[in-house]
Amino acid sequence: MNLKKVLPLKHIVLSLLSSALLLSVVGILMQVKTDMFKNVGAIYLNLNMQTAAANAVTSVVTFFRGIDTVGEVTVLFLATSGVALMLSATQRTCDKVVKQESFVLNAGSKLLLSVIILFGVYVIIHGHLSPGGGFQGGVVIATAFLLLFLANPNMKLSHGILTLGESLSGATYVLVVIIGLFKMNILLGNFLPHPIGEIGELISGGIIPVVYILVGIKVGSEMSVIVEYFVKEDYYKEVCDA
Amino acid sequence: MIGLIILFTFLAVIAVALGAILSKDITQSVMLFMGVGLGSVVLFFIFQAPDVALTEAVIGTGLSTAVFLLGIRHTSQEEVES
Repeated sequence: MNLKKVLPLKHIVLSLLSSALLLSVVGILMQVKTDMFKNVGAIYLNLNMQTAAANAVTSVVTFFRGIDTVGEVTVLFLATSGVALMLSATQRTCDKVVKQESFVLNAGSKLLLSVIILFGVYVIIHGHLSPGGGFQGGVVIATAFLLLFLANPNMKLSHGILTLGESLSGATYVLVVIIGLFKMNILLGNFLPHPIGEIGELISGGIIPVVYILVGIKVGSEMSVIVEYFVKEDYYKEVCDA
Repeated sequence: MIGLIILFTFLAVIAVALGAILSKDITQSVMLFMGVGLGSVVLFFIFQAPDVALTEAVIGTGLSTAVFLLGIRHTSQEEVES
């Protein structure tokens, strides 16, 4: 048996290299002690007292790492623009009415719509008190619209209102960032009053709930538009091409 | 008790992930992938990351599954051996 044929040199070199890489990664991981991770969390938990937001994760996301959130919102905006550009170019104008799904799905989706949207709004507004926040609440709202579109594809969202809300909330978010820069000399400075005694109340934490509500409006409208384009594209392809 | 739950969830997630890879039916694969997200939600919650658990529940099991299923409608159902 020819060993060279069974095990080519390339495979041997690759496996040696990957095992060396694996060994070095394991070696690095062996050096890591568990209290290294505890330090970062402890620092943020101690700093959390400044922001007066009961949920420490929220104060990290919107305050200590607030610039990352600005970047994420920008990325989401670009993704939505890409989807809208790509799918609206291929969206045919077709007057055929798509058949509705069954009565149970239709009635159930209309019943559930208000409850799901209410839960999304709750998650957004209580972002600084309990787990969740703008991103999660916005996607919950988009899920409600997904259900609605799956039941009845003829439903239309008002794109004017959605675009207005999305761009207004985005512009206000950038404005909040810049006002913080001018008033507190840091980007996203917490310029609204946030006394530590009010921690745990609905109106507390200064700009943190404001930022999360703006992010929630933005993410909710963007995700709803993406969902609408995906579902409509699907049904139009089925009906108009037939 | 909590250790048993964690161990069981880990094993279930690994089994479901293997099933998602090995399955030939793509719809089945997507549903099993949703199961991976569902197991991760339980694990994130046990390991005290409720924010991540909520995100995973909404995006990982809700929205991404719907987008995958909408995409599958235009592609062939069976995996083709190349």
